[in-house]
Amino acid sequence: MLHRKTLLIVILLLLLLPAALQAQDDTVVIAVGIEPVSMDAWRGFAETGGPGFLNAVEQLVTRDFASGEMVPLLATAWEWVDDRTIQFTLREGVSFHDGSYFNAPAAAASINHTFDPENAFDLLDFVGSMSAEAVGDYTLNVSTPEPDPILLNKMYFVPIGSAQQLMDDPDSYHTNLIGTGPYRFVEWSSGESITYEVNPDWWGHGMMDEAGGEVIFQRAVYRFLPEDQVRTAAVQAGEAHIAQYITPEQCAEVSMSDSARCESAASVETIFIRMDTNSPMLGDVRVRRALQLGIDKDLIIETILGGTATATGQIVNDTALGHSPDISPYPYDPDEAAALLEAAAADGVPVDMPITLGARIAVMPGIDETLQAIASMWGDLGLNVSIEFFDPEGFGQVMLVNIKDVPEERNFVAVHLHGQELLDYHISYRFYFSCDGILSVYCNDEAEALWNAAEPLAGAERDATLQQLNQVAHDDVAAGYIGHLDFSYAVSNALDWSLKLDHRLQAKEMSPAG
Amino acid sequence: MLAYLARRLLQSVAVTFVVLSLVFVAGRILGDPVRLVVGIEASEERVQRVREQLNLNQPLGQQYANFIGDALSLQFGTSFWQKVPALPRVLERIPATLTLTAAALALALPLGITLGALSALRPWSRIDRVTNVISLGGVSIVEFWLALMLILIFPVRLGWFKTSGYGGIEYFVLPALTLCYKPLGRIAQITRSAMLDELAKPYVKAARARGLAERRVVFVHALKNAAVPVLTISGDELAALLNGAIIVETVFGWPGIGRLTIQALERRDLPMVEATVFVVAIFIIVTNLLVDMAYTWLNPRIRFSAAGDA
Amino acid sequence: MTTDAVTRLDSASEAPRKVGIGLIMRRLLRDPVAVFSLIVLTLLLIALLAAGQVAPYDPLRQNLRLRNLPPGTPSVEEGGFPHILGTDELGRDLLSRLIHGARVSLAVGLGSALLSGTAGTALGILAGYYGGRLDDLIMRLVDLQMSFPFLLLALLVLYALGPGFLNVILVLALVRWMVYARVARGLTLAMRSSPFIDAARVTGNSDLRIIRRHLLPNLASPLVILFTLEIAALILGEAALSYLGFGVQKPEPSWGLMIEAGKSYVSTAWWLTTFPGLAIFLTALSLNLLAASLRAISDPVQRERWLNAGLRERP
Repeated sequence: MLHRKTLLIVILLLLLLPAALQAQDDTVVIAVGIEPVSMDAWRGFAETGGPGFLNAVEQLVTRDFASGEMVPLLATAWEWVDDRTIQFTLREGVSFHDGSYFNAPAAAASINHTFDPENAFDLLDFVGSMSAEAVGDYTLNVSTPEPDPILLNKMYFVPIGSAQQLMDDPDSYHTNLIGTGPYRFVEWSSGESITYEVNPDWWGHGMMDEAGGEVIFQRAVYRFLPEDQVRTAAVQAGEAHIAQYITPEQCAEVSMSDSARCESAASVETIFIRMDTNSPMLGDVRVRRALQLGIDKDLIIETILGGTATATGQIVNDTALGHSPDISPYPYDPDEAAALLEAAAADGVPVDMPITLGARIAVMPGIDETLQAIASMWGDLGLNVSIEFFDPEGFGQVMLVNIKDVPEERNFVAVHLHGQELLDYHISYRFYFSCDGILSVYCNDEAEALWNAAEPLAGAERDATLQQLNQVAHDDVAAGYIGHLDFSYAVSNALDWSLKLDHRLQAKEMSPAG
Repeated sequence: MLAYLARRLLQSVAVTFVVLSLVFVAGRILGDPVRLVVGIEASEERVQRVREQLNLNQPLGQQYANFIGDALSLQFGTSFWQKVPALPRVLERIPATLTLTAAALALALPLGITLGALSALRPWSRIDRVTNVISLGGVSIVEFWLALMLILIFPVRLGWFKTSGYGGIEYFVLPALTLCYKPLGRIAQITRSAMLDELAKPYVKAARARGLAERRVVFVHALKNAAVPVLTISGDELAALLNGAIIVETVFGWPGIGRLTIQALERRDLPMVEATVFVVAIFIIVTNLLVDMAYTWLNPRIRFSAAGDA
Repeated sequence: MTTDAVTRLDSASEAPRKVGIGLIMRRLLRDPVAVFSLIVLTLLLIALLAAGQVAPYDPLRQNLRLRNLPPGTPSVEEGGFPHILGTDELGRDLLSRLIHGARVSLAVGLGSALLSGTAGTALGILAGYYGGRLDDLIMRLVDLQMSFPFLLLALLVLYALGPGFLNVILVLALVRWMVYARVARGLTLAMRSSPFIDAARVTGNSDLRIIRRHLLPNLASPLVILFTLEIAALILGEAALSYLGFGVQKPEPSWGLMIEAGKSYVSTAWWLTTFPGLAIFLTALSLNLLAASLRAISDPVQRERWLNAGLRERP
């Protein structure tokens, strides 16, 4: 009898064991949409390209979203040496996960590797060139080739990786993320997940305010689930704590459940419409204006985007320098649009040229619907529109191209997201509107002069000039816009976490609820 | 036997060769791999440099020879996308796909054979019709739709199993169920028709005449012989399972080779695509050889040379 | 499935016994499963030929204010046709899209099945009739493609060619021809040495004539069955390619694409994916069931059983 009972208990235990192993309260699981390309530390500049990377690598400075100020992280203090250089005083007693020390030479090596033109990492295109030099053990000078008033803001996007690693085993830079952060990188299971676990030697333990959080979860797992429906389901089923980027419908559904909630917040992303302004058709400002007047932005936002965007007429939102409060969205006015097209046609503008309207697959929730809606509205104006979706590489080929290299008959219109994380219109203009911009299919000499004039300026002067530039671009319909986009997340009620404006998913800001 | 296997092996090598050539044509002749590496905005000078680095400035014949040589020495180069050697990354993904397809097959084979045998017992009866609709349903279902439905019903509504991911048994259930339905349907169909053939044969009549129990006649004698055609198709079935795996892995976030293929294609990552196709080809060849061996073992009367045809 | 057809048909092809068409039709109509599949296929045929006349709405006309309306929602227009199956993610009438989608999906299925059927049959007959080196070459290619996942092959070729309606047809044909080749070759091989072919040869008929007059008619029924099965497989193939983003492009309403477009709404608007999913399922199922019935009819042994089945069952 006793034997039987024991046996029963053993069997029961064996059955329960896997379940017990499963339910790990000390692990936070986050479902993200995209698997990173590599574990290069610099990819930590964006959550989409480097999911959870900021758990492992840290920047010199970070942003306090309550005040909007830059605050210390790996640097404790800084001052401008001249208009091209900032001198940082680095935090002492910090070490990398590989045991090497964090100091000025290490930070300099990491920064210089990140911005080495030979490496040609995307971050170089994104924030522009910079270089670093150690002037003391814990004193670091970071400078730009030209005066750059927003250099400090840029440092928020520069994660510092291990210099030791670059020296000893440079190949591992692509597969092994080594930084100073609260969690150390454990494993990247290709196609499945990235796992981080707590770094007991982190400098920030017990310094919640300075370190921007505290470590409560022992492990953080970022799982790659390409389907938004499956990500949401994973949260609903209690398998994940957070599902990144879900659709408005999924958001509404999650809000009604007891086990999870939906968190949305404005992002720095703007949905904009880039037109090949060198084509015989789109080169005419009346046609460009007609296209914008023909889109019912409010309707798209209200329905397809479920209200998770704010209609706009400019590429940056009000957190950015150069955002103009005077610019309002192009109104929806199909009659005026038709009249403009007629006038253009009367002057011999070929308004019947076929337009290709394209976007990258899954660039945002609802992109398929948005693109089709725009095409349908333009079709109502009598325009000849076809749509095309591109894979990431294919989209790069049609998008990453300057106006000089675009054939005039291409007549391509892209709907894409622009994220102005640096909060400065000057940079947005460089990418999308300047004559040599790597993504620019626009060139306007009057605006270009203003843009050049703004470069060395700072403060209110810079703001005023950029606003003027913004207005010129708006009047010339350099691009069209739908709105500033919010992003939504399904969050398990078992998790205590609130979304910040930078949309970063950092485990140090998370804890179990209750 | 040995001679036969040697011949099959030789054929397999030829097959691999053809598949690799196809990948070469698709990747290098129909598109420009250099532009994929450096992006469209790169200067002509940089393009030229990369072209030389990748040995893409040589004549196509030379490139082809290099490519085959590299493939034979298992060098597929560095992934454009992930910047790591392509082949190890692909090999990493094998276990996930292997276990998933094995689980699916382990479900599909017994269930399919039982279903097929059941309907063959009384052809065109009600049981036959019901099983027929079930098995043809498997052949007709849209897999990714089935997958999404299963996710919504089981983990989300009922709290059973896992929505997605890779791990213990509860992770396996839904992907394996989704993946097994199609082969299950096909196996049931084949079993049914093979059984019908067998049951019409004189030896079955003789066995019945001798007074052997019907169950024994059907499930031991007829089914054993019917197993031969069922086994014959399991080679093709494997190919079909891999088709399904591409879809199922994408939906369930399963870290297998099917998902990797899609990612590599989306990123236009030529080395990774080449390595994936190579590995899949080898995988299939090995399995087919195993099936061949089982086949000849089950049915020793087959002339090996004849088995090689068709 | 296909191998099944081969094994069944191999044994069936010789000495077909004539049974009146009338009897078969009557029997077919008494078979509920066959009637079901005939109804589904008739509906499809109507959709294929007269989508514009049958569909209550323009399948491309959007109305963002009427997004994701559940099935059975009355029309907002006075006296308008109700949205029986609801509306989709852009407020387009789902039934209308389904009807027009039938056109695209069937065009892909039929188009690629015809292309691959013609090429595959021709190559299969050549291989079977002439044998030797040619046979070896063709059959090795068949074996190779048979054992390689056709979806992967299709993706590889589409990767080079780019997606789109015509490319999908072409690629699907390219990856499925070997199914016909295998069957056609097997049957040709069996018939090549039969007395009536020998007789034709002795009387001085040319090869082409023998193939056309004597071989093809005898291949017809098994190949038609195979063709039926292949349409089903190709419609499913198109759906898979569309899901992966390599298939027909939006806003063209193909069934596969409709499911793909609705995948983010599975939990909030189930009808977006369920109805096109059901359409594909029922079409493929009907084609498969029809093929099963056809197979039974063309096989003398099975035919007897099949003809008598209902009689025995219902006392």
